Amino acid sequence: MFDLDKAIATWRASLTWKRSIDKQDRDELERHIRDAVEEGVRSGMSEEDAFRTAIRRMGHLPQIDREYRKIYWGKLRKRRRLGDELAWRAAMLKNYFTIALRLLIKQRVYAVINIFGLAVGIAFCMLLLLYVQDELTFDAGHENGDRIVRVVFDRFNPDGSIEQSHPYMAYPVGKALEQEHSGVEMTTRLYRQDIYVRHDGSTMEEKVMFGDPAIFSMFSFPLIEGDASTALPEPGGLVISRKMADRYFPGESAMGKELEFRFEDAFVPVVITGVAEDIPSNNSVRFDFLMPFERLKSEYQWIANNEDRWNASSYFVYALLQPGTTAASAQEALTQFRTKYYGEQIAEARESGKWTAPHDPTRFRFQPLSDIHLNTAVSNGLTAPSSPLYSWVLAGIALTILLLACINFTTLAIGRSASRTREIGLRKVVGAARSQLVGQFGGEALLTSLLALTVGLAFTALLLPTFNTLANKELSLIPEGHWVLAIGLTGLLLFVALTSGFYPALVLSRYRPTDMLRKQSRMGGSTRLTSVLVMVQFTLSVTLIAGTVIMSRQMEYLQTTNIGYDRDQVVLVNSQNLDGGRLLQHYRNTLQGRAEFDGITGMTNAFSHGWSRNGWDYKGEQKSAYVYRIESDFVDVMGMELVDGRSFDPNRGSDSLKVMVNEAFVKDFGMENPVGELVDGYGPDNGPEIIGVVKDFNFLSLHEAVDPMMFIMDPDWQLGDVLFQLNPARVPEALALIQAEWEAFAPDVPFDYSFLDEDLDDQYAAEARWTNIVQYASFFAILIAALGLFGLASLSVTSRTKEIGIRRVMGASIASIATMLSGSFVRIVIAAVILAVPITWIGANRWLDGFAYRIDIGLFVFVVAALLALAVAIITVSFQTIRAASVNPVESLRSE
Amino acid sequence: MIPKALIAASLKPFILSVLSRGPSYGYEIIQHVENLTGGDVSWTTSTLYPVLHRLENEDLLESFWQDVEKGPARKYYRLTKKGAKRLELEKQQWLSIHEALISLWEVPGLKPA
Repeated sequence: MFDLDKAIATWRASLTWKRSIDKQDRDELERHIRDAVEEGVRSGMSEEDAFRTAIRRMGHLPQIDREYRKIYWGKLRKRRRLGDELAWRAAMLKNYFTIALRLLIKQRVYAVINIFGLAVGIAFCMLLLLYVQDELTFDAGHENGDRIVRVVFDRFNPDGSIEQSHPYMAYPVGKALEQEHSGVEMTTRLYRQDIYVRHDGSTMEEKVMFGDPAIFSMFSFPLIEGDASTALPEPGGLVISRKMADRYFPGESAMGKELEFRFEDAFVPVVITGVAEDIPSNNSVRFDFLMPFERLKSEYQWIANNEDRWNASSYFVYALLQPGTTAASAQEALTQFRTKYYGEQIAEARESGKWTAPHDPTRFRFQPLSDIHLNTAVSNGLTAPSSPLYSWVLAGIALTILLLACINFTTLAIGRSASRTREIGLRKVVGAARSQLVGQFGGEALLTSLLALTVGLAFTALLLPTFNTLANKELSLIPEGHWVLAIGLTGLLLFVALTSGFYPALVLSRYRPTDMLRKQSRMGGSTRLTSVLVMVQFTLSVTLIAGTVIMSRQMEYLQTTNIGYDRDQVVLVNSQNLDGGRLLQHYRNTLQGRAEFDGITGMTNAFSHGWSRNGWDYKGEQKSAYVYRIESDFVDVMGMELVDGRSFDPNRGSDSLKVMVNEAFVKDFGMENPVGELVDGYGPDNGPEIIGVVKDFNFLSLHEAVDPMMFIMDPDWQLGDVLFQLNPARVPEALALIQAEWEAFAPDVPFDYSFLDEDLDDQYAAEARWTNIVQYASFFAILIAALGLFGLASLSVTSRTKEIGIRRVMGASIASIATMLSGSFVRIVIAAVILAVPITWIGANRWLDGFAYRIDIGLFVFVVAALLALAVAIITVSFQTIRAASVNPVESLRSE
Repeated sequence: MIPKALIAASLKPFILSVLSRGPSYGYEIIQHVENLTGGDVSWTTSTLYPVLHRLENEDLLESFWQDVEKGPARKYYRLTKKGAKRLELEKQQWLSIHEALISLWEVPGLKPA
């Protein structure tokens, strides 16, 4: 028999757990149903039919819920129950928090794996953020920054592409440009020179900048002491940085004090007229010492000689454009400017037929300040430009590490979900909406991420000094523009919480409560998704390991390959603007022939200290070659191989007019019998005679192939470096002798030396740094991946405890069980290795293509990486599986 | 069959208009409107009550309870002053649309404006 009151009570109960519908609402709805039933009965329906009709007209429960929810918060406000609601939410939140915290503590191992992995990932991302922020804010701190440009020289190829760009300008360019170019408001010439600075009897070598007073109007370099408009009176005046003021005059004002500078031969006192705030490291124009540019010509004869020469380019010119003028709109007048002063050269090139393209062979161009740091096409500025590629490489590495950690979180969360089915089922039964569960699990991910973030920040602080060395930066944890960091941190937190918590939340909240409560349903363990994710982890790890191996082998190759001359045990002593010829003579007189030395010789610039390249017209063809001025015994002392002719002879005076060349030269110039031929067009008459050919050697870094090169013995070329070939058994004694004789020769000037091999290795400093960074990354990658695998293996073992027990009872050996349990993981890792091979192959080949001399990627690399990854995986997994298999089956069968 | 969107749009003016004739409750409002429109306009319970509550939240309506013999009390709604003003506004809006349409359809006896 139908009981209306009972039916209504049942119906009301179904609304009880909908928080959007409160008791008043339920009363109202019940009244509605009762009214409808009454009316239905009155019109002849049975009570039961009337009730059913009324319920049907009410709409579906989810629909009712949705409609009521729309007005929920307004209702709370109206009924002054907002406080209750918030209190309830807070209580719920507290419950979530408690559960999350209990889980963290109860499942400590997993918590540690997750938090450690995420923290490492976050630390890498933080470092990346700091690096990118530094790169992006380079030169950004100047008020007029958008109007500051640098004048750059471009040389074109006939097809219109740029062959070469450099920022060196002739002495008169800066002033002439300021006067003649209507779009230029002012200019400053800049020149940087290493100079010895003496104070209180101690001498230090410092980089001194020379600039025009306009530098303070163009750039925003605030002065702590002194006045920007008078800080650089010509020709005196000296502005030093706060750092230098603190170093030389600690605790007192540096204004009006003196420092001594050694120009050419003698120390000259200079009065300090200003102290500038330290210039942040992310500026391309920086100085610790600044003097008026005009001073240069009175201190250095060679610069005075340059004053009116338009073809001796050694100086930087920065210009401030008029407001409203852009680099592009100022180009035409700049081209006219160049035509005015260099028109003859261009016309000559055309007349001689060497240049036939419609555009000019060369031009000047304004390069915006913001372009200077990240444009590697213009070489040799005040600071080395940095390739944006590094930011991308770093981003790739950081995100890879973070991804690995997020994968750990996901796989472990899914794996552990079996143990939470009851909690989830219960929550659902008592009315939790799916969105609430997603929120709860998302919140747990957020909590873990928050903990990881804290630890990650600590890691960042720990890693920062190492990273600064590796990336050649001066980053600090709290940089000037906090915004990037703040946004970055928040973004990172959400990203980590989302990527790691999102999927588990969706999966866990999807299951039907009845399944969950009835029995432990088949969820968790090793799902297909988990396998894929683990494979991704190991693919990335193997790629990084193989990359490390390849990079290290290439670095080793660069440092040990035969470059055609002896580089070990060679000490270089730079003449430091002293007379190189006299210095060499002094050393020869005092040290030549002693047992500590196998030879003493000299050259313009040691191969690691720069080069000069000359171009000339050879029999109607434009040819160029690198030129080094050497001493007669150079080829011998450096252990180079002579393939044809003879070496320079000190006893033949005419040899100073002759040259030696390398094999590349012979080939490029198309000579058949080079010895005795003349280098037409190079120098007076028909050019110098070739007396000998040396076997090709790498005078440039191994990024470059061997180009044509000439040795000359022209005494007009200054000797810049003295080279000592040491007796390997007597190195310390030899160094002591070299220093003692230096002090006898130039007591004022501090002694400085370097080893040639170390200098040469510096050519690959950038590569070495990045090799190191990748090394760190691959270490952490494999560590995180292994930790994840460890966690997964332990989960899989736990869920199969009984199975293991039964197998043992039936006679399976420990080894066979361990093999069985490890098998699936090992298969995943093998698949990962196979995937990693092509990825590494492509990436590494692109990197190696940057070197003219490179290793071949052999199979060996992949074998090493694969074995390493497999070993790590097997050790990690078998640690768990062997332990599980060794448990007494009685124990494992009893376990619940 | 009147489209859903139009029914939804007319919900508010209907409620305000019905209540302008005196206090009423949800069931009665539905009945009233159904009778007026011959069943063309008919709301489900889950549509009507939340709208009533929203109008109440916006202070256009106020409510009171009245005991009934059996079962829970009945919740009555009545127009507030603000609600009466809003009804005037709604009325003008509906009439202006109504007049415009009528003039377009050129109903005999009504000249285009």
